[in-house]
Amino acid sequence: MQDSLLPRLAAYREAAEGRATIRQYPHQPLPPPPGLRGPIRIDPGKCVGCGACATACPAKTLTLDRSTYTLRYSIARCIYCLLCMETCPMKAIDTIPEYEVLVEEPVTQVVEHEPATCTKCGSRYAPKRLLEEVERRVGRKLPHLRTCPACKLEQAALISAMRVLRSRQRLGRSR
Amino acid sequence: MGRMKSVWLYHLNTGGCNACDIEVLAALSPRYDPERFGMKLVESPRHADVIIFTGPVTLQSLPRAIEVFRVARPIGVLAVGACACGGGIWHDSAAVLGGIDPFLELLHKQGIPVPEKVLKLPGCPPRPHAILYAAAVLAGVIKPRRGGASGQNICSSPSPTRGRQARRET
Repeated sequence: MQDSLLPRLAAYREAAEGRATIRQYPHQPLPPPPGLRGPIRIDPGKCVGCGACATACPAKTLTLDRSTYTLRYSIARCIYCLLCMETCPMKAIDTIPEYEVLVEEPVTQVVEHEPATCTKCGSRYAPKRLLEEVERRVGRKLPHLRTCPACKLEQAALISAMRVLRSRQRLGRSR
Repeated sequence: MGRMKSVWLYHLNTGGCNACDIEVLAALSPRYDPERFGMKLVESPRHADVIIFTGPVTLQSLPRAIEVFRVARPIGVLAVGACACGGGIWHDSAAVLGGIDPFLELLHKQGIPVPEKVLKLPGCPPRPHAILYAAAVLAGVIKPRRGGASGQNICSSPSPTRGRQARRET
């Protein structure tokens, strides 16, 4: 109610002053109202490729390809809910207040990320920028981020097995 | 030639949620006044020059929609809303064809002539202003504005933009 009252008062004032209040809309552009939800734009400099937006997207028009870490946005299915904008931890997504979105072919935006390769098996498991961001937030280098989850599990299993063996050996010596 | 001057619209809902339909009817109201361009809503698809297409084409509505396109022979189709443009949030549903692209493909396979001019207006739903603008562009009353039919400034670029990490290396 509050935001609809002010323009109406402005229109009354314009009418009282004798100025025209009729706008020749399709011929003259009409500025979008404040707070209009429009299509989104991804800032490729801020995006780390975590895929939180793709998980949140109800129409699945924002997708993250987990093999190449390519984020794709197609305007066709977008319902302008801006859940991606709210979800994004890097605030990399912004909305364009634009409603004259008339297209022949749906426009897409593609953001490519360089995948990090596991130091053990060489598989791609995360975008490099995401690992860098995790290290930046923790505040120090994390060497165990450099291996993929499968290798990490294998390593952890090995370590715990070694521990058990060593404790067995220690027990055997003490007996 | 009469078709170029005043475009008659036929409103076809293919199983949408009615939000787009409400906006279409709002855009055809005296407030936005499309009759200054000679546009009006017609009851029969045989009279239509442009079909305003809403909804994700459910299987229930599919035979009727095909029948409309079989008799209508429109010069253009305006797909209004996210559902008509690409299936919207129903795109992976089993009961839905998924928007106008698969529908026109189906028409083409059936040998029914497909209108050459197909414009898409995404939004859930789009504003009445946007529908009025789209109808005016389709009728040739105004030229598409920047950010309109060209779509160039909607997304920064259709070509891949790389993240900061990748850009530093290249």
